[in-house]
Amino acid sequence: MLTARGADRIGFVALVSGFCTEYDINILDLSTTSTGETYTMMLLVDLSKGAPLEELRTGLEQFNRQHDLSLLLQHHDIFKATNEIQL
Amino acid sequence: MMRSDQILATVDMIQKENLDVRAVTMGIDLLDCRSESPLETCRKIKEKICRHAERLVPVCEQVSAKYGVSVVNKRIAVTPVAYVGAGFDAADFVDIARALDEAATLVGIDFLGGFSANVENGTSRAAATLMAAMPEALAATTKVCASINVGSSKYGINMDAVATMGRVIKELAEDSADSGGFGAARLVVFTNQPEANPFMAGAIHGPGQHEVVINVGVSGPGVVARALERKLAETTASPGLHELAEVIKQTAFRVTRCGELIGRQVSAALDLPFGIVDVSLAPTPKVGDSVGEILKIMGVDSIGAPGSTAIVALLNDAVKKGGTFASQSAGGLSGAFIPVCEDAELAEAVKNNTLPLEKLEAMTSVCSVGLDMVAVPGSVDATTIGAIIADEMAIGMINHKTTAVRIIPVPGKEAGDFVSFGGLFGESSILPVRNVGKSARFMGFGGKIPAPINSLKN
Repeated sequence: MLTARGADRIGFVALVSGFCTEYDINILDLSTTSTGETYTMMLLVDLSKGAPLEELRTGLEQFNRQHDLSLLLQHHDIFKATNEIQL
Repeated sequence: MMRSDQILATVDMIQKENLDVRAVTMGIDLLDCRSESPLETCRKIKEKICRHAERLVPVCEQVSAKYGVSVVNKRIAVTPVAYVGAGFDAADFVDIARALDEAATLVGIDFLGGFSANVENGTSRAAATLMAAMPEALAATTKVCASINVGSSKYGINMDAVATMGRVIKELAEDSADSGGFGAARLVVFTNQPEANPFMAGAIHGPGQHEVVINVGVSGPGVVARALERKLAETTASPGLHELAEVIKQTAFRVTRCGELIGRQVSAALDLPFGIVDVSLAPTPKVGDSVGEILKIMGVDSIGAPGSTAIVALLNDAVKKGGTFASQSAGGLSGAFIPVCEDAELAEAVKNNTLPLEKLEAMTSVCSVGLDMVAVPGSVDATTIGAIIADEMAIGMINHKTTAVRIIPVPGKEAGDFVSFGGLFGESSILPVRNVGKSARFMGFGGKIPAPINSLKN
């Protein structure tokens, strides 16, 4: 699960999907929400064809620094475990 | 796709509210390391720990990177050393402590617990030797933690051992005067010590456990605090305490689920059985990661004010309820910790003189552990420290719960002075102790406090 949060602006979605393209990340599902000035994207992604995890994490850090955006990558199971009774 | 509010709540828990896995602790049985000579025993101990734990730290880091949840501490708990070193002399016990410390350093963990003995019903020669070796063993090491179980609901309290521990604590503090008596922070005295417990300084790998096992301690007072704040901000009508208890329960469920997931992944990657999740709220000195803060949110303006004990009781119970439902195997200490130095709000309450030792003691009768990381004046004598321990042990014995004392008589400091231990151990003002030196006749009796009756509960 990739979560992107930052100030709403033109090109927000393009930036995030650009990152996914660069690292061969396939987007399986996507939802977005906007609260005040903040825009949030939640992407269910498939990393099986993408870069190794360490490389991806370094890439994420760089991206966050460059674009004043917060991109966070967490395993889908964490969301299931913390929100659903039945695992 | 999951609901976006659920996704964002989980992201916030981890990113902003300090949710982490506080400790992944590998329990290792050391009984088969016993050999005829102390030297060979030490060699085998080192070899066994290194063999089993060499991948612990890298695997925790891999799982942490994969799931995006940090594992703060990687630790090891071993068979209480009194069993492994029985028959050796005090110098040999110090050598075993050194071997444990070297192994801990080699595998890169933070702390290793198990320089321990059980003496609740009497002190064996091995336990007496271990206690005698304790000051030197802890001074010679940096990662080894010690614990002594002096009481239980089944056997009562060994008051001779309590008196001995009062003296050992004083000695440990005085030997480490240059670090504010920090040596005493690596020793806990228990009643009803759990045999499997991932939290330091009282972690041991007791009898009846797997050969090697992974236990996990979760945390997250910050997550509970923010959830309560959101609940209070939701409507203008004030919620009832039962509704706040429900919020805590649900939050504890989330926190525990997260910890168990990570723990089970680590145990699977290491091909080891998974033991228990310690469902606890363990604070750190970081702002926003405090149990004291929860008390304030729940309605006392100063921690220690009347009502504080009732809040801790509600909090502790709700954490257990949420946690046990979330986990397949909750265990250990499980509950809310109130370690004074390690919790910025509790330390502040001590500084402002709103949280005296007596109120802290009352709160420990309904919380998970006991008098934890409490800094007292260096002038408090060993007998008084022993008597403080006896009081806390009595609470655990009568209530059939774990209680513990980790107290630091800070050399050269008096009440109101300040001490800092650094890192997760935090800092605090020195808590005044009233009636110092007035328990000597009681402590002088020695012997045992008999085990409590199990009927006529009033």
